Amino acid sequence: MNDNANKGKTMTYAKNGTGPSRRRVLGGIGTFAMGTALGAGLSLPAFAQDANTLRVAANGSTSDSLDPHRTRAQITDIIRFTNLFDGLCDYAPDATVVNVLAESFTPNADATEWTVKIVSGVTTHAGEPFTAEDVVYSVKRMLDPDNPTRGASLISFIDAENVEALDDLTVVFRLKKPYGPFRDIWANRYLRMVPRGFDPETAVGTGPFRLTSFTPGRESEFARFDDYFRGPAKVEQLVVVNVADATASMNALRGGQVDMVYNVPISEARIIEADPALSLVNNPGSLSIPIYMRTDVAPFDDPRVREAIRLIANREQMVAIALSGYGEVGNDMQGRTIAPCGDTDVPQRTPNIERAIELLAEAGQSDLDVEIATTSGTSGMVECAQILSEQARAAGINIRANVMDEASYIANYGNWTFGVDFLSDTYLPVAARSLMPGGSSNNTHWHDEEFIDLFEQATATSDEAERCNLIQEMRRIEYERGGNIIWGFSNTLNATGAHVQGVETYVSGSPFYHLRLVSKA
Amino acid sequence: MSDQKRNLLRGSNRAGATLRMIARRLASSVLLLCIMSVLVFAATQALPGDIAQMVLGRDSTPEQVDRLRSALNLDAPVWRQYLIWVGNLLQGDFGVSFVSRQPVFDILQTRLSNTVVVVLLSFLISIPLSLVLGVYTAVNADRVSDRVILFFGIALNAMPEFVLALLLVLLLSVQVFHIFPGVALLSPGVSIWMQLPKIALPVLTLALLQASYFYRLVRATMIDVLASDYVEFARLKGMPRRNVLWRQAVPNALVPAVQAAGTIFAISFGGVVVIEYVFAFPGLGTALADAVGARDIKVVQAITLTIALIFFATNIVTDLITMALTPPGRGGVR
Repeated sequence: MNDNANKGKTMTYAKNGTGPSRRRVLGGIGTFAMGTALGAGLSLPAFAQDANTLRVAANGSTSDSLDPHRTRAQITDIIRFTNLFDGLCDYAPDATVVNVLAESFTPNADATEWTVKIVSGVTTHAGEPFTAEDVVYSVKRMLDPDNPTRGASLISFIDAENVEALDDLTVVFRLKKPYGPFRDIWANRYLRMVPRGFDPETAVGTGPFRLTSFTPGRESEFARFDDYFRGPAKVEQLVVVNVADATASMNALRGGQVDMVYNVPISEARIIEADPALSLVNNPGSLSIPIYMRTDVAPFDDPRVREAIRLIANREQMVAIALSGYGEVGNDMQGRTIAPCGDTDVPQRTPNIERAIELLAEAGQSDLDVEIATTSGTSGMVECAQILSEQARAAGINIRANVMDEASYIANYGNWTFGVDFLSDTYLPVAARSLMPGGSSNNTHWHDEEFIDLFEQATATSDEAERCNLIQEMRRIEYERGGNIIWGFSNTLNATGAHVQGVETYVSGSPFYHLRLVSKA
Repeated sequence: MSDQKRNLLRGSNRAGATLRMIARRLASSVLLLCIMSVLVFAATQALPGDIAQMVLGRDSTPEQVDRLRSALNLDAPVWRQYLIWVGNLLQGDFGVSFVSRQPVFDILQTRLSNTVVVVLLSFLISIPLSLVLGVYTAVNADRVSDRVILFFGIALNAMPEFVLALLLVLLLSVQVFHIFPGVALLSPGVSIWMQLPKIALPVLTLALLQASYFYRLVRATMIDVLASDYVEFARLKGMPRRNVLWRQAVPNALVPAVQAAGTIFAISFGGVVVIEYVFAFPGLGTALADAVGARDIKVVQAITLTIALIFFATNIVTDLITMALTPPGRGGVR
């Protein structure tokens, strides 16, 4: 405004002493400030913490649900249902499969019929015994054709009509086709067991915690289930709070408002490691971030172009920058670990720009100009595309990173010619989803007869050693002629306060899915 | 005509004029709301990405997507979707969220009341603070104290909201002092009034941002008014300086300030989004951000229309206050 024009007059006015005395105005401000401080001081004990209540923060939304089968798979959902319900099996920290509700699995000769014994003495939160009939109910619910569930595709080989309870503790599964890794599949988190007549509103299960209150998008509370068959949880109460923003999560942890946070920005990991009040949970997770090339359309239908891009990618640099080193370099094969099988014997692919330039020239693609689709679905997805785009310059081609919001990316999911995705599971389920024709994440549109044949054999055999050999062959084919650049596997980073005990790191899953083991000092 | 009669007449005339003004404003607001509804609807249609696909996620089959699309009425022509939506709105039916399957009204209700509390509390701090600072710095214009306050005011105002929010978190919550919770994790089912410390930082952030702008406006208008002839005259007449300042100058400086306060109030509802996000505050802003991300169109539409409605209502209210402060025919001097 016209401060300057009036300066003279105002100065005169003030100097003439007609204004209020400085003392009075300052006094007014002081009174106001004291009032504010007093008001704040009165209501201070806001975040006093209770040693028997574990508070965890993770990201979810108003579409939060308590249904383990019909879920949008937000982290808050998974934390809730993995602590409310049990599966027949589960993953141990090293990704080996352990029995939970199941006591034993027995196949017939050709693995088309599996008899499962249930642990006795399991009770639900409502005090009812958990029986074979509940397993039958759960499996039929998962496979309900009119109301699809997230886990249905994992067990599509089961003939839902012919799942039968032989007695209270024995279920027989008759399959549509032989399925060898039958026991392993039940460790999947989307295949949790619910009691008959399950109502997602009350969410009665068999798990270590029972629901006490639930507000979608905000908070849910649980109490320890004292009769839990594997021993009661260490804390009496569990609270899961929704915090969408990773920075806000960390602030809540630092301020003592929560004990554990799921979402940790990779950029903060070193700071957390250096902070004695916090501890970083560095899970060597199975999360891969493949860069996919569609094998059925130009330019990547030419294997030479695919190999050239694979030779341009500097995987070590990507892991060091995109994942800040919190990960492991990949070798264009899925599965960070294929335990209990050993490593696949192929040399580590390293950058070879000269060879890449030759291959591109042979394919007539020396001036290649393509767009790579990506979104910030998980840390590293955007960065790896940007790094590849930089690295491509050395070979004289142009790769443009198209960073989109998630909805725009998903809208064309499966159709992008060149893009970035993320996948997390053990080898065979990942292969089924992303390397087999018709798989929901087969973004490369790969169709390799030899690979398909090996996959069918691997899923049919119940002989573990034979399955390992088949998986090694499958991975070798992936390495030689697949459509993915699997440049690295990302660690999953969580953080806890230093007072939190009993947190183990998981390859498949998360310590957040096993909160009964966690306690507060 | 007797004085009494004349006054009575003037009063009724003025009341009539006020009513006419309100009626005119309401009519134009309704028209603008209609235009807004078209704009909001068009904007949500133009968002990239398919709602059904987003709701079902990556692992869905094309058949599932098609089934959901027809269940959600998404395959009807756009104009029909619009008419159905407006028709329902007029009956007070905001619809059901595509994503969470909850009535949109329920989502809106708690979120709106939470945001209203934060904005109102921030106003209770920023308005008196701005008036005191504005008057003080105007009286002491260009002195050191004025310069210092101005420097901080401009610095605060130039800062993006989230930077200020994070600085306050560092200062008052996690690093230097541990006075307030750094994140507004409100417990559902407990009244927000019982959890005020949890919202202290969002309120403070918003109040500082409002005050840093508003006080400068008060200061500038005060400087103008203090330089005016009538203030000079009152002073020469020998009126006590306190009276000159608080009875002559301040009320006249308030007129433009009220208009600005109205605008700040309305903008706070839309602008609080980033602040809410930093503090994970369950308000209108975070609900809007979530809904846009999840393509929860019904929620996006309801929230944007609500914010528009708040704008119109605030405008009418500030106009009324302005009229009350400057009665016609009295030249704005009391």
